[in-house]
Amino acid sequence: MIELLVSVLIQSVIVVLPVLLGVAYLTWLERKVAGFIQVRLGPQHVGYRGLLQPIADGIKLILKENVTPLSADRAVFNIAPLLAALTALSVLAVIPWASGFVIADVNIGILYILSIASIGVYGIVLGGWASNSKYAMFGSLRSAAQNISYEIPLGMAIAGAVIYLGTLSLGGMVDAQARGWLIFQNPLHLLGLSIYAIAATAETNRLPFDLPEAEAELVAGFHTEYSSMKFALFFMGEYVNMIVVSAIAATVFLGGWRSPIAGLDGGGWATVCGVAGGIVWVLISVWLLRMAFAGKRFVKSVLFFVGIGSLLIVLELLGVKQGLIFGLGSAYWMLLKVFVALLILMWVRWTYPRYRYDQLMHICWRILLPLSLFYIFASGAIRFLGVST
Amino acid sequence: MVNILFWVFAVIAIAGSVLATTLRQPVHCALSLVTTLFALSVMYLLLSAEFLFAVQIFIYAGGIMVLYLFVIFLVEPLRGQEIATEPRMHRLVGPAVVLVFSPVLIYALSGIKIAPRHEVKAPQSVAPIKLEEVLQLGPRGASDPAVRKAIVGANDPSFRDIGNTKVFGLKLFTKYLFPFEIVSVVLLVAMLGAIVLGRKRFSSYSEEEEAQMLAEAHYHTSRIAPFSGETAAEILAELRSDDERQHKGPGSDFKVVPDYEE
Repeated sequence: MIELLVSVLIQSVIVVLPVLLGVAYLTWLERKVAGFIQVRLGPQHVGYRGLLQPIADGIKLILKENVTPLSADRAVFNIAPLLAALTALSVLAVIPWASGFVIADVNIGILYILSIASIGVYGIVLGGWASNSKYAMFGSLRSAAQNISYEIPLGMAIAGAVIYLGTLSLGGMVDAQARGWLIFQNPLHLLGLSIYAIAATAETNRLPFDLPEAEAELVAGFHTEYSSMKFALFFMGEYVNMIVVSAIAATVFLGGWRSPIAGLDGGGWATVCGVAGGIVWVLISVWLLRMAFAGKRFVKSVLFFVGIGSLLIVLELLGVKQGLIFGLGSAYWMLLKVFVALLILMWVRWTYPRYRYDQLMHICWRILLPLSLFYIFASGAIRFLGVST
Repeated sequence: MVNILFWVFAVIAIAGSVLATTLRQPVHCALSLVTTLFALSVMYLLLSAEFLFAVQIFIYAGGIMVLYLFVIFLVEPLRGQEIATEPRMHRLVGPAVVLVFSPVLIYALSGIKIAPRHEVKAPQSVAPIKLEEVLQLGPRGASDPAVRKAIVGANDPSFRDIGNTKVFGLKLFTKYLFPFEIVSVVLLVAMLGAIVLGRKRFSSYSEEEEAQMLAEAHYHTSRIAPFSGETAAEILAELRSDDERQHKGPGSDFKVVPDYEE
């Protein structure tokens, strides 16, 4: 009993600490990506290439004055950011980060995730209400309506994939993709992945669906009145949500910790291939960046990727059940997919203009919902017609 | 362990429901209700019904209660404006009812015997258990923690989905299919009712009659402001052009008029 608790605690620390660090550096990455897309540099001065920027931001946020509006509902005002951040973090427990490494592989994994996501709406709703300010109220109502509306296509896209994979547990889903990633098993699942991607972008309130927190429209939406650590908690909740949503996409549609080619999942020689592939990937991206921006940009990319790689090694060295080397390789694939998904999220953010609220709702209810119903139907039909997993 | 969890969450559930009836702010009451629903879902989990645990949170606590909160936000004023306090007497009605009826309730419920939680022998071998055998273990057999521990202990991924969900789905779509379909019709009726009640109200008068009534109203008010008198025909024409403008979109009647002479 005690050793179960201790092992769960250690595993949680292994997952949560890198995620929190990743959240901080995700903000750095976001600003860099934003800069490069807008033909400028992003943070440069704080530390080498701005790498200490998140730490500076964190210190700034901690030292800010913690303002609570006079007529705000104190209890709810304090609880709301906690709800937003903790629900996002709770999902990390069921995601298989590597072969054999999942903190709690409950057999209703994906259902648990959807439930926790629907609790996350409360953070937004209560944050806006408790601030007792009109902009915050509007922002929170809009955001909550957007959130609960897009939960439906999200859940349905997942349901279609679940019908095909035959299991609700995330570990089981990755095992069911031993033949190949879901999108390779049947091209129909590209539709599912697209629906999921759009719904997930809307769920995390990212552009082009971020009207509720748009600066020009609603001051800052539901987190207008929050400052210092409470704002940091909301912010952190949003970025952890991004990571979680990418991880779910990777697990359900992209094969989790499995490699695209069968047999390269993990294991000594496979890990060498994986790591070599990683280095090749780094070099290619380096070359691409050099093509785009003349100058010594590649050092930053290499530093960043080396940083991720060493983080990954530390992560795996500390507790993988099925063996060190296998875990290393498979965690590499999982993190690669999550990272690519995050990059795409950021890329889309700085490319597209914002949707108006009625356009947003129109997309959900009149485009995504029928598409996801069709996806469930088609997925069930294909499964029924005898494709075995 | 299960006992401790049961008592903790039972207390939370009861405390939540008591608070939901006694707090002053409606939003606080709704949040207490959410806590109660959460605790109830954990009760489901303790009864090995993990699907119901997730679905209770997903739908009830995370969907229906959010809509409750929406309604509260839209109906109640923002915090700061006072809610009228009710007479002290009314607050005693609830506890009085409880005091009067609880002896009756306790007496009625005392005859129920709850089946003791029996220890299911864990299967010794790690051979796959067929679904029929699992179903024969009874309504809760498939989700019995001892059975599932034995299955999960085999670490075989094909067993992962034997649990409340699978049995639930099987029963729902075979034995209880008819109630399932009837409930979906009920939900459909509720949705239709909401749409019908919430649609735009179109007046039962025709356009000419409306215009006539408006003209009369204008006439009466034009005694005060003589410039606003319009005949029914003019009002009708205005309304029609309004309609056109709505159909063609904003700005369709916008004309650029240069204010210099060419």
